Amino acid sequence: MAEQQGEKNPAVEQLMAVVEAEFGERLDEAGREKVRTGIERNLSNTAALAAYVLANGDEPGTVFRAYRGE
Amino acid sequence: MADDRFAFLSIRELGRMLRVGETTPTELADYFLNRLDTVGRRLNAVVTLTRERAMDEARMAERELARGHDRGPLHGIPYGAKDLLATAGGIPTTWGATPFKDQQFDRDGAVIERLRAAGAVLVAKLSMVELAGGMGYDQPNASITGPGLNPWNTEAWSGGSSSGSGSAVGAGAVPFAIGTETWGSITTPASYCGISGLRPTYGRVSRRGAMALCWTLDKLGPMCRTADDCGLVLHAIAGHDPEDETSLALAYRYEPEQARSSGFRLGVLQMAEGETQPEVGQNYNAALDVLRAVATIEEVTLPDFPYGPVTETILRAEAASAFDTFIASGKIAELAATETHVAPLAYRYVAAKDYITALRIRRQIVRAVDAAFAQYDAIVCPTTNAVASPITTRFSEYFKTPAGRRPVIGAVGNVAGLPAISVPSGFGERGLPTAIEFVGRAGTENALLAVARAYQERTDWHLQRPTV
Repeated sequence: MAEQQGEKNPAVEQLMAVVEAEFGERLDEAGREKVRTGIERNLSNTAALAAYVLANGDEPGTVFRAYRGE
Repeated sequence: MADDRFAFLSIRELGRMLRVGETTPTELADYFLNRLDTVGRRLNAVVTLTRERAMDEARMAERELARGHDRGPLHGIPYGAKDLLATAGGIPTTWGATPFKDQQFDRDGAVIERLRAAGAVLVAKLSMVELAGGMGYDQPNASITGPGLNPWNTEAWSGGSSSGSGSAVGAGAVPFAIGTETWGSITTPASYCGISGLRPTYGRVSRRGAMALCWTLDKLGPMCRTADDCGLVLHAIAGHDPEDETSLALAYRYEPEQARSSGFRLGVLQMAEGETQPEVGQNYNAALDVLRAVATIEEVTLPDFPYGPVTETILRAEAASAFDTFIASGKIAELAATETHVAPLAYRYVAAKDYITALRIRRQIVRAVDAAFAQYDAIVCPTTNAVASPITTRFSEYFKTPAGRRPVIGAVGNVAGLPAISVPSGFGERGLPTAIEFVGRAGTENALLAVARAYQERTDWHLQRPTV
């Protein structure tokens, strides 16, 4: 997720466009930067997760159970 | 100078005094209510004093003891609860946050119910970082009660998010408290305030009635003067609860008389040069020297996983859902920490597939870490790599690196749901406490408590008292 100086990450910009559409009226420049930093962090986490190889059968740590009441 | 005749006594010591008639539950309740009202409030540790309820519970405890009905070690012992635990009877539960200042519940949380059944006396709802810090605060002024102040140095933070639980116990304003931890919120204030704090195995203690920040990471545990006291409190609050589907089916008993006091096998993690403040590292090495009298110590390597990104992704995704309306409505702008007013909007854009991927990696983490820890009674490490930050300094300034504030073992232990106990190990810069942490496999609280007790039998850091 490292960016060249002054070069914008298109994924961040697209997500920022969604934030802007939903919450733009609440954001000043400082707020936009905070949200941008948070989204960059999300995408940094995405990259770290993607770098870990999972097989198709590797299930999540939280398991859904069907339910039937008494 | 405050009257400290009961302030720094352990639960066992207070229990002995109650049973030989040297004090009474009502005297203790009144004493700690007054101490909370003075010392506790000076440290911004108190949200609500529960005086009326406390005196009712204390009178009942007194009557029962008088007629020989003894509910056990917590009978007649006052305590405080982090203010995210629901309390009935018109006592507010603020979650530490102004937007929830008038919130009330009609039923006590499971832990409060269990402590009442054990005869303990609720004297206060204690301060906390607003919404348990889940909105990403970067400085101590992030609570309805103001910044949590450290009893050892009021220019320093108490730690969070169980701030009042840490500082009230540290200042002798309450014999024990209940804290909660999603990622460091029991062990960090325990470390900073010079007390013993136990994070139980995930599911060991029912979460019913506790504010949900992150359903799969939230845990409740005791914050006390000693490791032994942590065991006594855990015994009272642990156990299956059909109303919390994640609570463990296994029963828990604290049985110190059954435990070993030596012959432990401990693992230590390799630390990078400069990873800790100098005094933290020196105190850690001194603690290891003490432990060598009762344990063999060998280096252990953590399995290679992206612990931080996995934990953070899970936390952000679950917190975004738990507080979606609050964040999206703009109500979040009423929080004290201005840096959290819009930043959590980013949590709403964690991709669903990333959350699921994190849970898939988590499943592998729990197995790999369990195997890595299997041959040890505990893994030992510094609880925090630095002492508490100054009250006016941003964490991002004081803790130069992310690991400075959050050592990797915190992510490992929390994402894997593992128990840990933090105990004091000495003092560092600005006269602030340092601490060591013992982390173990799921369900090994008694082994961790045994090691921690053995350490505290050979040291007196847990007996030191701040001037408050």
